Amino acid sequence: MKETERQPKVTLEDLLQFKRAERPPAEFWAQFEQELRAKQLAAIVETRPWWHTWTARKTLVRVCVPLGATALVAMTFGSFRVASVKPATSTAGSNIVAVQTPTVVGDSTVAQVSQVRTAVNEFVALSASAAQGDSVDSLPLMVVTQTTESASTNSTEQVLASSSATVKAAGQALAQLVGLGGNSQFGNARTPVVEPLTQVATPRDSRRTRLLAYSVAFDPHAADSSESVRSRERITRRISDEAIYDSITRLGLSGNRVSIKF
Amino acid sequence: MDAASKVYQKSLVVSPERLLEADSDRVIVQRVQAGEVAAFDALILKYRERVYGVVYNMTSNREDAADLTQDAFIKAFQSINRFQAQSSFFTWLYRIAVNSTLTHLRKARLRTFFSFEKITDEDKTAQLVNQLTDKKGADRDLFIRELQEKLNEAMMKLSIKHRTVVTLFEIEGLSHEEIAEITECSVGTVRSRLHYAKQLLQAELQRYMNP
Repeated sequence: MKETERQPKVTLEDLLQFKRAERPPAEFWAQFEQELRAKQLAAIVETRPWWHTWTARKTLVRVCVPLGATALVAMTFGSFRVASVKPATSTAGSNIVAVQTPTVVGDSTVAQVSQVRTAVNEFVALSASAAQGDSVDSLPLMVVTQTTESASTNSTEQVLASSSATVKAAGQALAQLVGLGGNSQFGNARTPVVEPLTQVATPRDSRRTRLLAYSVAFDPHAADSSESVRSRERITRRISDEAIYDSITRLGLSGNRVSIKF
Repeated sequence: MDAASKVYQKSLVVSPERLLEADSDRVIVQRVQAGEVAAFDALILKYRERVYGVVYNMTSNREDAADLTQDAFIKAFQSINRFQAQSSFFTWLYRIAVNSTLTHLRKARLRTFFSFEKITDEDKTAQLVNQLTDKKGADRDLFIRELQEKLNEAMMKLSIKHRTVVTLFEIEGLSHEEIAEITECSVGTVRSRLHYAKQLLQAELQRYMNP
């Protein structure tokens, strides 16, 4: 019989027994204990920072998480505002969210308040979706209408008034965040944003105006018909700056003579 | 048996010795929690070798292992008031040590130095060496040294998670359930990691298994 067959097979578990046998000597533990004592004393003496205490940590989590989330939402809306400022021309009627808050007696007040809350949520969702796009035209408007029923009580009215005020305030705040400006009444048509540079008249425009005025003054018969005025406008618009400068250089005036260059 | 140990027994499959050990630990922990700081020394004395063994086999560096073991005891001492006896003190301490070691290994992934402990020539080890080689004297010591290096190299080739499971199961002799509690994963995950790690180790140490 071969020698290898006589020997029992060595397994992985057997080999790992060697790892168990790796033990430090006794003098190691003396030094270990000395170092541990020093560290333990330092840990006892050391004052831990206030934020390391359990209660402080819990408080920080309670305060910081909502604050951080709010800041994040505000920053997101701010960035959308920058991205989505474009001149608005019309308001889309389909985006109007009509909230009816019927003032009914007593028990149904809670349901109504929740209805208002749902509408606010819907409005917020629509605002967010509008803000994600390029245009602010699709921004929803919220119209809060209050239909008064016969058997309304004072408390119910107060609750509903406060809830509708809350809705309006929320709407205005959102409009401010999205970039509509908070001074206008929420729900009114927005004034289009005009770029400042477009308001400045260029020399080219002033020349065109002068030419048009001159042509109208020179041809009084034609000035009556609106069609001819429109055609002159078209012609003057087509006159480029280069053509005007060419015409100036070709025409020459000296004394009683007029010279034309070809 | 108090309520806490019942909870521990229910949550884990543990041996009666472990249960007794957990009960005695709980008494000491309660004394420390009551303000008897010196009682913690008993826990250090009881567990220092085992904790050191886990950390050393995970790092293969005796200096790092000593530091990390000390840190684990300090952390346990600092937060002993938060220990609510949902698990045994031993499992809780192991978890602290393993987590500290994992953090250390992740930080120092690129700079690994080996510094080995000497293998104590016990009966079982001597028997195994006799099976592996018939060398005597200096050659035998050289062979043991080489085997130790190869074993540690093979261990360090495993991922940190696999190494942890192998260390806790094969070297420290913990159960799957206890390892699952320490490493905060399922028993199935522990089993699968162990199986995979063993396959890798077998491939690495094939030479010594079939001499």
